Amino acid sequence: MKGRKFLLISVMALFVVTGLYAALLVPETGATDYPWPSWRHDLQNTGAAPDSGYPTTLKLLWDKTRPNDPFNIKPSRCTTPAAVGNNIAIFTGNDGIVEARDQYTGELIWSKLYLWLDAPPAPAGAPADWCQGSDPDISGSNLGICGYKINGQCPSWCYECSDTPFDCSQVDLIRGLDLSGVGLGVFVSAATIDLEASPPRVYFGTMDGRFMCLNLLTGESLWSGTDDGGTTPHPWREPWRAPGGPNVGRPWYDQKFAWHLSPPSVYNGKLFFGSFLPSFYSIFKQFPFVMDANNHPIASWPSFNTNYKMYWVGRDGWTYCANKDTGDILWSWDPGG
Amino acid sequence: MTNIPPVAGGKVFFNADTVTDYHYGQMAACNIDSGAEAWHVGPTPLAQGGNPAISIPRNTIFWPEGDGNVWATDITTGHVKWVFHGGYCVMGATAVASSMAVDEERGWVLGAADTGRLFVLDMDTGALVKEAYLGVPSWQPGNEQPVSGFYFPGYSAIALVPAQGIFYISGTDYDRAWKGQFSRGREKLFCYNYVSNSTTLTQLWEYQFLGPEWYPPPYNANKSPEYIVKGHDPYQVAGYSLSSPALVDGHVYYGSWNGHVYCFGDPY
Repeated sequence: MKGRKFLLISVMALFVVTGLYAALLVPETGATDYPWPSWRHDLQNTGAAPDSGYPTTLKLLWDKTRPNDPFNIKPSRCTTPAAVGNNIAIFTGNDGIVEARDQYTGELIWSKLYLWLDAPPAPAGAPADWCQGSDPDISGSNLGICGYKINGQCPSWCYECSDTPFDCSQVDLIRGLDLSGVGLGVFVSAATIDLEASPPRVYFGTMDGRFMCLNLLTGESLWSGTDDGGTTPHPWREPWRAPGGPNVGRPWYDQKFAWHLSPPSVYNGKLFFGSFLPSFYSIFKQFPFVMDANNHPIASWPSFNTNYKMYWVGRDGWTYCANKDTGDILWSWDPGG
Repeated sequence: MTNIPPVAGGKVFFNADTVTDYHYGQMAACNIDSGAEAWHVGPTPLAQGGNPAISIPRNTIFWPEGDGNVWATDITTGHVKWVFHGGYCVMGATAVASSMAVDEERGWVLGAADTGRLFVLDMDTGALVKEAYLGVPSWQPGNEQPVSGFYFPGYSAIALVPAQGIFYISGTDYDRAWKGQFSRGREKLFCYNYVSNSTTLTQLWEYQFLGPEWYPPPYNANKSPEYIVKGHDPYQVAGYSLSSPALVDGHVYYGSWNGHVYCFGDPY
């Protein structure tokens, strides 16, 4: 009996301590006086703070080390803007790390790691010469050398052509983005904090075509379901797969995904966000000093074969409007690419 | 479309870089409910400019482009009101990649080019009010444009405090930029006063970020804790991505290439 009483007291004490600890960790709602909920501050992107008292001399209050980049085992690089609201500062960046920190102390509240998704399946239907005639590298050991002659001629944009046709079977159409399976964190866009939602939320996209909605306080996912039919316990949406979206029915549908590189805007229950066109092959190709036979410029990111037919594995670059509660796409707009 | 879309007057605005081909740009306005295009301006010669900013009282959106121009456009009609050339960096083939910021009360819009040029414009006319070069406090109006020794913001955006007449912006050093992907550059956060001097902007302080965890000893000419920003090859459109400061409750929040995050200001 004495042992049970001691156990009961111990458990109650644990609850009290745990509760106090949780109370310390979970910030008080709305305590940030002048939040900066997204890059550029507000829906008009004024980039202007409405208050004052900012440091006019150098005063470092805190300096915190980010969780390790899972690939390099070094602090994850932050190249994206911070967002701060509800006492929480959100930092994202290059290496798949999303972290929430206490606005006042910098202490870590929660963090998430997003690795690159598996690469899309290799596209069917690419002709054997899809990579021949491709534009030249302008740096490295293949400086100015094109894949092969076109119609027996070395194209004018090439310094020289290789003597033998390039074997396209040795080149992966999606090699530039096949970053899965090696524990590499995906680039995570800057975040937007939604203080009107309850609980408050954070939205962001990734470079492998995902879009997320998390509970700002805990980091838990709020949208349900995925667009690929998967059953991950931490679901996301993939706008490029959206039913009725821009890619449905287009060639190589399964290889298309967009890079989401910017935070969204949130307005009247809707999210607005863009995407960056990914032509997966040749993403490391160079500036397009490429002209066609009529001296008209053509894009160099896609590869093209000996008939100037261009091969793009992925192509999106669309702008999306989504329901902020579900992630469902309401409309999309093609900028004309 | 890699910018955060501003919203105003029933429209959402997109600064896209996929028109005609990858390197052309345009600004377009779509109906916020239907997505129907209301107007567009462009294509412009080069895309990948910075993020636009809107002045509601002036019904104007200010958008920077990769050709070095800042465009002021009526948000209702799409009519171009004025264009100002902010600067073009030949080595990087980038121009005004940083974003615009609006000081509504003074009637100014601020920008920064990859030539290191900081400029303050009259929102109504596009006239240059004052200018300076990032990281070169000794530069004065009338001097030549620096060819070396300056910092430039890349995609880092100005964060403005109109009440104090100051702003914050980060930058990397031009002298180590565009020398190839294995050449890394420095990263600094700057604070400027843009009000007190009538012809230029005054640097108040700077902070250099160091990355000892990423770049431990032994050091050499290209390996040092101060060289942390990944480089790009020359003569290609490859903008530098640096974080942008966020201003909250009198404090400046910033994340660095060195894997640290920071808060600047007095104790809470």
